[in-house]
Amino acid sequence: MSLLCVDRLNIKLGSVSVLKDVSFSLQQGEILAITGESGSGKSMAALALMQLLPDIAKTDGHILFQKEDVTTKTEKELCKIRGSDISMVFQEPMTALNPVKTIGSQVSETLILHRNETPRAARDKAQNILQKVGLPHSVVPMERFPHELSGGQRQRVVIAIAIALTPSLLIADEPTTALDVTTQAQILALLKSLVKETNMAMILITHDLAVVANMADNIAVMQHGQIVEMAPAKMLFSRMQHPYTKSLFAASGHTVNLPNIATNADNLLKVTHVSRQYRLPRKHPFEVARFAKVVSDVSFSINHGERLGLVGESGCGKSTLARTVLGLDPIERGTITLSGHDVQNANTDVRRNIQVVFQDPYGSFNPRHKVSRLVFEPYHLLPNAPSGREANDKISRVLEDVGLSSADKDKYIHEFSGGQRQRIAIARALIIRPKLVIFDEAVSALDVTVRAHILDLIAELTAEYGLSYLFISHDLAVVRSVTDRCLVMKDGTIIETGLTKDILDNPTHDYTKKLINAAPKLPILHNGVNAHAPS
Amino acid sequence: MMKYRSLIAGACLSLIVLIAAAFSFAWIPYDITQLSIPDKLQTPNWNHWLGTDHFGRDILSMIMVGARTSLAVALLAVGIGMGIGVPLGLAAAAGRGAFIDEVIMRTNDLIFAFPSLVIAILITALFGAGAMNAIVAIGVFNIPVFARVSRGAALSLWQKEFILAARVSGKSKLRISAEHILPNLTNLLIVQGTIQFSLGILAEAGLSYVGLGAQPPTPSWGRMLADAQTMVSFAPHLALIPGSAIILTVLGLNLMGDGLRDALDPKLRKSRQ
Amino acid sequence: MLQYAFKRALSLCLSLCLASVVIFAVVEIAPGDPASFMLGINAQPDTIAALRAELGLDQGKFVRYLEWTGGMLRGDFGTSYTYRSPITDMVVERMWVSLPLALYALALSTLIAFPVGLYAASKRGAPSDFAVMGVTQLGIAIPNFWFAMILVVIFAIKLRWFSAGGFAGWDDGLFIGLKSLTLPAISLALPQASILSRVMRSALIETLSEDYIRTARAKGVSRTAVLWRHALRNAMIPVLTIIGLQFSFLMAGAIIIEQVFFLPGLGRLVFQAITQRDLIVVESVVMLLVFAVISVNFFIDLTYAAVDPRLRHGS
Repeated sequence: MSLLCVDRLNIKLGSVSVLKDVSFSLQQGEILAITGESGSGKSMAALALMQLLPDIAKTDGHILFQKEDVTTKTEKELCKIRGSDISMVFQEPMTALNPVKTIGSQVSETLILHRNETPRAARDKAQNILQKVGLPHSVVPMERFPHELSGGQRQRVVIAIAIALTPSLLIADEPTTALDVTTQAQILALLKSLVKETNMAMILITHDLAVVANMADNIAVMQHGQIVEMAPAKMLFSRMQHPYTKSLFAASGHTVNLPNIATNADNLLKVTHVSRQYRLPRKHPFEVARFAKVVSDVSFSINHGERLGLVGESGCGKSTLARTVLGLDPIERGTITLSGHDVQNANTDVRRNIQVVFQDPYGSFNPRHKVSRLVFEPYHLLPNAPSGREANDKISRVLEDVGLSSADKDKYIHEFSGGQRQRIAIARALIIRPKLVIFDEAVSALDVTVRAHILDLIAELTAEYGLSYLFISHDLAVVRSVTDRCLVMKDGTIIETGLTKDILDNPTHDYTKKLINAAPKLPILHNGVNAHAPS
Repeated sequence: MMKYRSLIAGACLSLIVLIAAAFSFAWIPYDITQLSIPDKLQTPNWNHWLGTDHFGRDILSMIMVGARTSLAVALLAVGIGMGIGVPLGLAAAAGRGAFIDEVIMRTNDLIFAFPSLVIAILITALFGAGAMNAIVAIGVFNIPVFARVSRGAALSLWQKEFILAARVSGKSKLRISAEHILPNLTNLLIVQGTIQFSLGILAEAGLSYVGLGAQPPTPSWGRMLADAQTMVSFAPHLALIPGSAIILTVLGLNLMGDGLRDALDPKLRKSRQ
Repeated sequence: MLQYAFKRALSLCLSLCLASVVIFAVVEIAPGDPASFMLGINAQPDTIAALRAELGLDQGKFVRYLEWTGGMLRGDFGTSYTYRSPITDMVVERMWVSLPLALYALALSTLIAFPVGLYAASKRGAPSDFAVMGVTQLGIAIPNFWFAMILVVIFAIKLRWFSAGGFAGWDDGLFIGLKSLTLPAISLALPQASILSRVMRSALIETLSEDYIRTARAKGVSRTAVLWRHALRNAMIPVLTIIGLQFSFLMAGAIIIEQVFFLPGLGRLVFQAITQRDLIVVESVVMLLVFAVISVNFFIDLTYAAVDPRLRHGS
């Protein structure tokens, strides 16, 4: 008899159907991965198992856990199951812990709640559990508050809370999405070892197919609230049936055909010995000012027609570097020149040659302006901006270039999807035909299929607009596919530089090696879906 | 429609007061400058819908004219607060962490440290009681409110990527503040303005009650209450009617403010669902 | 923690200095010379000059400012122009009415608002929540001095439970004193309680949508327990801010309410002083009120740190 059996589960939020006829079952000690793009309903499925759905949700169908239907249980009975028999780990470790309680008390709360332990006994047990998830007292005392811990450490605390009573089912909802690759590898290893050690079952919900491939025994692929395909991991990779699964895997391993552009040896952008520091808050009023170096002594250059990648984990200073190159942030030392002109305090003649595409497709546009005005904004940098028909033509032209229609220019930004917005952001960056574009994590917020389309678009436009760009990303696979050369950044300094292929295939620096090893890899598929662009 | 019920209810109440005030310029039932002692202290009846006061003046007429005073004082005070506070808040946000930000915010903190009504009393008392000084006194305390609210919201907008994109397009901070920041603050300012408006009505009533608001013969709701105080035990309508006028106006404005916030702020609307 | 407290104390001192300058300046630029006011319109210029010299008004502004602030630091508020008696004594006597009144009202407001806010938050969206919020909406709209008049009619004139005005003093015991402040305190507290319970409710509801509440629910903490154990303390920050602001409102409101109940508090003193152009009394009382407000907010700041560990560590 299986531990969990979900039978034709339907969930509606108001009139919207978020889960449709979802059925699956799970054995003790098994890891089931539920994967799919955003909005596919995978997180709803997790909340349904916990019976923590929003109040307006209407449930139909059965969820049999240890032969009992949780959908018919009272709130009181559910409270007994939650945290004790079924536990959950959430995506965002930065906000998942109560900021005003110590980590120790948050772990021991579970014990006090379900086992009626005395606070003292619970404390001692909590200490052991924290040790088990890799937070021994000597490193992270349990009197610490969440804000004193790093993201990875916080996620370990969340896991400690979840496994405190060795539940028979652990649900992990995107547990590593908010973490860096190296931390992600550690957390995944921890989860895997916990499953092995305690023989609990785990449902791992993630959008990342590479993670799925490395972790799961069984895989369920979801689309529009339905499970479109479910099979044991090995079988799914060798014989995937459903076209959506195929397109998902194809998009994940998607590589673009980067056109060759004639490069010349002239430096377009030259960054020499640049340092940027922030002043730290003083500990007491008479203290000598202290500084945190975010970018320290960085030098690199981009030639005409060159596509440079910048790789690093969060907080390494890559976005700050981008802002200094754009002239948005001041620098303390060094010089940044574009075609020989200083970009700090640059005049519009220099600035018109550099534009940017940001990460967040939702925050990148003034919601009160129409697309035509949004896209046209960089013309502020030109002395004789076109007007009337000419301006209209330019806007239509650039919108068509990025794969939208000229009719879109009279719409507001909320009428577009994330991928379309990123196209508009690219249109805005290209409309005045700059020489250099900075892509700051420009595809990181997008689902895999959309990401593949945008990467293709960038490659296509490279030829058409004769673009040079600096592509900043934490994702090695993406950097590999759209750059010629790349830099690896750590703690504000560039630690390795060279041709992208060379660096990713034969890294020399230890950190680069660690980064590459930590990144989960897609298995090589035999039916060749990897080679083609998604339909 | 249910979603907007507090907005509709609030708007209706506010509109009634506004119409009464506007209408009073054209016509009021009785001349309120004429005393008519024989008619004094009538309870509401057919001739005097809301009764008469101790001088025999028609209360409905006085309430209508008093609405003018209340609305004008509160509205102008909001105008002062917005007109000075919002630019200050925008400037502070644009110069985040710089000297100008420090100066503006410290001054704000200082004004906040004064019990507002005490200083309003101080100003009107020292510079003479009257509607003009009441407006200034209440307006001064609206300045830090609007400065703080607009700075807070502007600061988070400055972090948005569309502002960075505008900076990459070479736009100056002043231009960005006017073109991108201010338009995105309008909803917030409308809501805050409504709240300050209702607080202004209460403050004006308080000041006129202690004799520091509009001076007689200009009628004001607060002064009507002060006059009623000694007679309230045998002529309660003298206190009940102006009191209800204040309560309904403030209630209307507050309901409208809440309703506007729900209707205009998509973030709040979402979290309510 | 110490560093945080030190920082707040420093800003407290700075605010007080600035406030004293502002108050002094406002009174200085106000029209009306105290000496000529006291002597009436027919006074001879030399008599006015003599009185000005006697009151110390002929000295430079800067000297007078230093004398005033220096005196206050020693606990000496100077001498009243009108009564020629030490202001300190007058103020201390009045303070014993106004401060207890404001604190009484603050206590009432908090005691009402906490349970109401918690109740409404726990029943959020239900008809009972809607009803409670409707009542508070009305409570905010009521001017406190009008409410005071109504309370007097009902409880003093009709029911005769309380006296209609005046203050019994503290000499006959705490109960007698508090009783004569009860109606004024209720009329001050009710509108504030309405505001505070709304703030309390919305702060709680906002906190309940945080991720860590979901974590706690996933642990098996029940709907009600999560409110007490996880949401309440996190919701305290905005609530504390409002309590601090309310003290300021209540001090000011007390001045008006004192007029309704004929209480011999600071408000009465200020009004008398203003009509008699006894400016030094006005300055001192306002300074005292500002001091009270700033120090209450200082304690609120310290309470923040007790509630929120992130502030303690100065991150």
